[in-house]
Amino acid sequence: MNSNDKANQRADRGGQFLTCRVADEQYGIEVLKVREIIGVLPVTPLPHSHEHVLGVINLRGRVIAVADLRTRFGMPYREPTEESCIIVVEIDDGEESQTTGILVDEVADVCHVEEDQTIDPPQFDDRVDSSCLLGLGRADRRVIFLLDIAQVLRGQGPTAATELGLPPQEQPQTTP
Amino acid sequence: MSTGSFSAPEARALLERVLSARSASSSTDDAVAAAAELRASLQGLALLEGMPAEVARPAMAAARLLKNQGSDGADVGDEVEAAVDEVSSALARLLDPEEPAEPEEPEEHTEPKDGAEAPADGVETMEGTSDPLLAEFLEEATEHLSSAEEKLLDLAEAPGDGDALNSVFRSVHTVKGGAGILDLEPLLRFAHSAESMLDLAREGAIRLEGHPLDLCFEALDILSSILEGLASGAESCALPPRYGDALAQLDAIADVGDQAPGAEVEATPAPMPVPPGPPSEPQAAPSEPEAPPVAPPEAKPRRRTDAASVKVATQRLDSMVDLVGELVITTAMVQQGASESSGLGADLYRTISHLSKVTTELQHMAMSMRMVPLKQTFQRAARLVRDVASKCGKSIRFESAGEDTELDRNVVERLGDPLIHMLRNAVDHGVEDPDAREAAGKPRTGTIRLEAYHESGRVVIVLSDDGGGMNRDRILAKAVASGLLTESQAAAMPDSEVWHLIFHPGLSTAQTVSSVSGRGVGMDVVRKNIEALRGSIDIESEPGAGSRMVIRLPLTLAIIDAMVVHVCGRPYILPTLTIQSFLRPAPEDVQTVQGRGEILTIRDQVLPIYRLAELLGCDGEASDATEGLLALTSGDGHDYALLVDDLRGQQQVVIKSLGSKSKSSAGISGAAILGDGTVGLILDPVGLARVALSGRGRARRSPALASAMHAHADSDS
Repeated sequence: MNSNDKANQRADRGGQFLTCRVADEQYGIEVLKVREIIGVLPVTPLPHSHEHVLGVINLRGRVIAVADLRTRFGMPYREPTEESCIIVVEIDDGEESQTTGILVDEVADVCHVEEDQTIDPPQFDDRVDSSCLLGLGRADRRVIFLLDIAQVLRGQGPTAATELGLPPQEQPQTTP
Repeated sequence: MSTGSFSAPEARALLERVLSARSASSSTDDAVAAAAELRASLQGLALLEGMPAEVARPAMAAARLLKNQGSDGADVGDEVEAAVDEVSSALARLLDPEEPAEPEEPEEHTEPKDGAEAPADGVETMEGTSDPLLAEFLEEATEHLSSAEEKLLDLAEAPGDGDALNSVFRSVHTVKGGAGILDLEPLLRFAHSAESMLDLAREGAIRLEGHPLDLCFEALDILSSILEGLASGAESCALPPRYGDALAQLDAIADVGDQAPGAEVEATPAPMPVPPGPPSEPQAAPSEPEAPPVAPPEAKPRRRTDAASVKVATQRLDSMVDLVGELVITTAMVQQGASESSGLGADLYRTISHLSKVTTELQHMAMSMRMVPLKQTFQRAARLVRDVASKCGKSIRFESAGEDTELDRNVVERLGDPLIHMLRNAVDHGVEDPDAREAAGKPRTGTIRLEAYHESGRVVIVLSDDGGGMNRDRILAKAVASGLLTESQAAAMPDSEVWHLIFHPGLSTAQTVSSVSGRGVGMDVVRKNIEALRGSIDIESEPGAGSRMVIRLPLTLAIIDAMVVHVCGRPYILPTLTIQSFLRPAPEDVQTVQGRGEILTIRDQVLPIYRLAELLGCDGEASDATEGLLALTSGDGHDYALLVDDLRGQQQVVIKSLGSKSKSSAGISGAAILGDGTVGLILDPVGLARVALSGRGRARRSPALASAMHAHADSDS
């Protein structure tokens, strides 16, 4: 499966998905975009950032941003529990890849969703941001919302995108 | 290039030498000498004019193997053996077409040749090739050209320096050889012409001075730009516009030397007894692109230990520095844990303390890996001074010192442009015309000196000239004329401030605008660039005696001295350079305006007080300014006092990027990993001032943020 094709073409959405729980909902993230799953690390909040950007963490010496999937989907923020996890995803945006953490309530498992077991997301009113859904997938008699993770992180406008867009190693300029 | 255009007798002779050297190397006890002979003859064969790639390639590969063997003692006998077999069979086929071609000719060797055989027609473009050998050639050739330039500069200093001339010749010759192997026709032709001219100079037929010398420099430039074009990976790259012209001039000089261009190539002994091997082969590139085509399938992995330097992707370096930083923190945690738990054996303590020592050393090593010497920058400076001086008709000697001083790679890269501006200025405005110098009782030749040294944790770069110095009256007249100063201000201004006026945009004191300088856009850019590197620049000047520009730069951009302040129960990092002082205000120093805006009166200065907690959108502990600490800083064009809860000390931090440009406007310029492994945000006083003035700090607060900060109840909503 080619991830480029996926980005361009919604129809191609079968494959391996890492499923996770947010509130009572099951979401799937393409396994190929997941770099690792870590426990919740101390988060340093970023002032003036978009609501769903929790802040930044130290991922073995790299500073990466963490987004809260609950807040992103308009649900109330909840303190992380024992089961909460940060899924570290890597998104290749053409030239540069961005590494970002996503806070979810629980990571379930990896499941295979057959191409013919997926359908387009149903039409909702504008309270639901269906642009970040690749579609709905059925596996093991569950229904999983397949996430377009790049779209999720692109957020609700350019502000959020720049907040999460972390081009590699640009030296910040401090003016004396 | 068609096959068979090389001289067959020479090739036969060389092949014989190769074969006899091979049998000698396996039988005699003086294996080293035999290997050297084998290597020399192989390389000679590869570099033979017109030798087709199918022979040249394995010959070069074998020669390289032998070279490595010489330095690390690895046994490469089998590989060399195989390559020599290949050379001899390929050559035999070429020399004797009737002989049936050997069936097992490896196809890797024919394939790149086909690709390279595309006709390199005309001189306007040349075909690039995706040959794996090409990358290696480019790297080597670039190094050769750079060393040739260095030697040529020596030669300009001391005409008739035979060693330098030979070295330049060898470098160009090697580039030519490589270009021949890779069938890079335009490059080959140009290198050939340049080589011919250099050869005439070696024979004493022409003197490398004036025009021929300039032409040499230009030739090196053109060769470099062709290489750059090839390196950019374009399918076919445009040749530099001066290509044809310079080529014609080179050939003209060679003709004047009264020798047909082709003739002296024959005279040049093709196999050099000591092959012009590069001083350090840039072998250890992450991947070894040349390995697949030359190594037989059963080849052992080659060891390469002779590389004096290694090229590593910056990203890898950065992530290594990151990981080492993490290792330091983890080690500290282990140490902490061990000291808290009793009953651990003495051995374990020793091991842990050893671990921490090693870790610290590793950290120093990792940080030093980003450092590069200023040598190349200085070399470029020498070249620039020479070029500009000859354009301006001035005679200038360039001196340099401390070129081994090391600086962070990023700093060195960004230092280049400002330095060029300053050097141009020094040549064009600083040093006077020879006649004027003589009239002033100074030697006709001016001196420009560039030196670098360490001073209290910073690197100082001094650019001085023995020219006329800066003209106070002229600068002031300009400043008054452009409305910058009034007459009376100008008269009262101390010299040191007058010199700083040249950093003002729009002030150029050159009396004529020349092609090199004088448009008044240079020096303000210089200062901006240097300040962007967190450096500073000072000027000293004495009329009649010359000027000195002193640049002070931090060793690295990656590390800053910082004060850790606390607000809202979290640490934040303030770069020490941005802070004038900290103070705990007395109640009488703080007043409020309209019940809200606070101001601080200190030493006749009135500064607004901005509460950091408010700017960051949380609630600080210091409800009263007198309970907190004030950091005096400035940003966005004014000074202000920043109220923080507490100061937790001073430390060096490694800057990590947050990437987004918008961060700076939000008052955050980056992040750093603190001693306990958490992330601390680096504050940007300029951005904070903007946030304060826009009132954004109070307006927005995200629930997640507030909750994550364990903030108290929201007081202003």
